[in-house]
Amino acid sequence: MNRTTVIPFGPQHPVLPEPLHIKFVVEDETVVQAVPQLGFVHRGLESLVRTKDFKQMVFVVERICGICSCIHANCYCNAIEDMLGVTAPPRAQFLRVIWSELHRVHSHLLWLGLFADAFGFESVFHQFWRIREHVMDICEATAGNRVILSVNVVGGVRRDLTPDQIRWMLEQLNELEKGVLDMSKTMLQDYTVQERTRGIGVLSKNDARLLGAAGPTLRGSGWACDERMRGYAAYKELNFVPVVEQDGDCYARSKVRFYETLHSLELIREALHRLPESELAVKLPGNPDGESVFRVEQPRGELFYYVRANGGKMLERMRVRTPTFANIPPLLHMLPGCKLPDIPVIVLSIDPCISCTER
Amino acid sequence: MFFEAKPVTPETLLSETQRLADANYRFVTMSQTVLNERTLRLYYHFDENLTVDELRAGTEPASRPPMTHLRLDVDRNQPIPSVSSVYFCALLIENETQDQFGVRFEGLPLDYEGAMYLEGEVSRAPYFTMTTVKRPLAGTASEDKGGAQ
Repeated sequence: MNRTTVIPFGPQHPVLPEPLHIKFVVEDETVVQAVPQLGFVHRGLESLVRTKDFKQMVFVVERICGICSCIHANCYCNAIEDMLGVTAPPRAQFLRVIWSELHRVHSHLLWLGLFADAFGFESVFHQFWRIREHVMDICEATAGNRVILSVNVVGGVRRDLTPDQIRWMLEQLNELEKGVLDMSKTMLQDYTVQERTRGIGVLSKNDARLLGAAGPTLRGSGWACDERMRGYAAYKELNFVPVVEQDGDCYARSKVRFYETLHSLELIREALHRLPESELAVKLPGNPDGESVFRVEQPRGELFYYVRANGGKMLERMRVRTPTFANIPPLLHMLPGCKLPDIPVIVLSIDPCISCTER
Repeated sequence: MFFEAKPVTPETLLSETQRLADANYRFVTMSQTVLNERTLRLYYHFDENLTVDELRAGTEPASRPPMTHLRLDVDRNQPIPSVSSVYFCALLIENETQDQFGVRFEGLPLDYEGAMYLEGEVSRAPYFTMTTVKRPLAGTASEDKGGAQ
């Protein structure tokens, strides 16, 4: 007869230093049930809309998540701009894409390192984080900060790129791309990587849709669903193609992120070459009124904002659905049936961000 | 983008959701807004996915259909039917709504009963305490009331 044991995972775990707790019911070495517990650091940031005016909220939403702060601000600003009936100038739209894609690259490189660490490949972890420093340097040189960029404002952006900065960025991107390509053989073909990730944590195409998966978790299961396809900001003018894999396992999700990193570098290059001349922000006609929803693509997937305003300075309601929140039900579906040593690999494969989830 | 939502009632919510599920829509999320002390407005947001075949067939980004929204106004004291029997993923946001708005969903496959973010034994927010400091009357010995926290 199999012996049933309950094993707690988190809220402090060596492989995931974020406060997510999952209670695993295991029979011998096999997981039979996973029950999550959230809320260890819930901050109630959504409720701040009633005490901060809608322009100040840009800086609050950036603090929902450090890794994709710029993309949170981009989504929020677009939702408010829709309500106000204004559009950010063309140069601002391109600059938003550039900084958003820089965030995607550094998020994916961070994840690729952490993922390698999850299955015990520490030298790969160090290599990816070393390469990632190029992006952090670019962010610091162009926005003044490494993580929280604070470049978006409602109506546009508040920083610009000089021709010298663009030339320097293009050189840095070449270095960055070379570093990522050097890692491709290890990350995509190495025996150890494949043994630890292929056929692990499989999410079928139909389950991915029914369970509401988002981002690389959804695209790794065969859906070409990427909000950038809708062409928000300047994506409609760039040569964007979603990266899609069919196998639905941890290896497929890591491949999606690896190729997306390279594609993001291409998008940044293209945007830098085609950066139009215009002002950086438009004047706002007043306060927002009505209801609006907007979606953008974060590194971890689709980010959704709902805002409701009544014509005053403060918004009435803001609701944020982050991609990790969407990817928890698929995770709970992937875990039962897996072996204990595969738990960290599967949990990491959705790139969980509890900072986002507990906004 | 501004959006239009199709109004539904608690009686028609599940059939409408099932219709969207049958048409291969993906459940994106729910939004909630308080209309007044008694009424909560719930929006259910859905999206259609593209397959790789459709993409290769040359589907233009702009031709992607917009989101579909359902709108449900409910009495906060009445139970709300859970759509997680149709979309399992809705259980998380429905549990969150229970935590944050004090409503009840019927038919949740995993029901935290309003304690998803706080354990059941926690009766109040652990990092927020509000106490009243009573000044001792002049001439009387002060009693230790614990002071402000």
